[in-house]
Amino acid sequence: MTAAEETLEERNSRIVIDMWQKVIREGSREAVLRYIAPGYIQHNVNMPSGREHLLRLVDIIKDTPADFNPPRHKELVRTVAQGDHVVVIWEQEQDDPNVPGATYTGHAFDMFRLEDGMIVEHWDDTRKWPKPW
Amino acid sequence: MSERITSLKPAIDAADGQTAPVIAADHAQLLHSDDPVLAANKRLCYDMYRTVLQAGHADRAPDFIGPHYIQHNPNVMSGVEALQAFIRGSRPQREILPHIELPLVSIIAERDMVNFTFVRTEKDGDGNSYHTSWFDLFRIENGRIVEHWDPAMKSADMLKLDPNDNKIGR
Repeated sequence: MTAAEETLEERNSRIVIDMWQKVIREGSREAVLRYIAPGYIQHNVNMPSGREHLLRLVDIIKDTPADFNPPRHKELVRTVAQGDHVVVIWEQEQDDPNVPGATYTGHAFDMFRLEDGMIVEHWDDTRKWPKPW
Repeated sequence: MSERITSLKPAIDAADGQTAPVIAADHAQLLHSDDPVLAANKRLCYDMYRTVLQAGHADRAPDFIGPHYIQHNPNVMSGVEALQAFIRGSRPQREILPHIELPLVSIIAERDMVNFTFVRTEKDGDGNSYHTSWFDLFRIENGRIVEHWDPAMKSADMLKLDPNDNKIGR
């Protein structure tokens, strides 16, 4: 399908997945500036609102301090989009609290709101990190 | 072009450095879709939520949920009977209300899926409350919910937990 035939939902989902690849997996500052709006509203409990905090995050992703415990790798399960919202569902292996050393498959969620192809707001299910950066 | 699916309103003040959570002002707006199948799917999940999960009417579960229900929550087995046992073990039966009372942010529907996003209150290691988000994703087939995902972690406590006391901003 060419770009001209994309629905709003397909376009927004593509933007979100491309942003995730380049920002979260590759730590690209350029991708933060291309995809994240300056007035970015952040509902993740560990980060304040504002694009500058994502720029700080990609610096950490690129050059991870020894005491920083990065989140586990997530595999895409599916996206659900409607209008300006995109929900992304991921699979990730998590430590089993009952069996030391064992893991089980859990799910993680992100929701994004976009305006004119830029991501302006983000929600996720993250718990408070014991040591916020 | 920007299409806001609903107007949001502040739910409660947040702690320093945190963004104040927002909830939907109008559930009718969230339930709307120009596509009649998506609108029916949203309504099916909304009615299941307020009847089974909120009001605890486990006997009504088969009205909304298919017999071969696939459950990805790591604390509950697949099948409608396992869901009924979980509901009976974790919450009392209450009056069935016309609205979901938990702080609902959005209902997003596409293809055969419907996602609900809620504000969720948690406590940190020091016992201080903070806000994060909770998600329930449902897949619908032939007018019944057949699959469910959420961000739950493995925990024996969850089987006893009634999330319906989490009613900020109402």
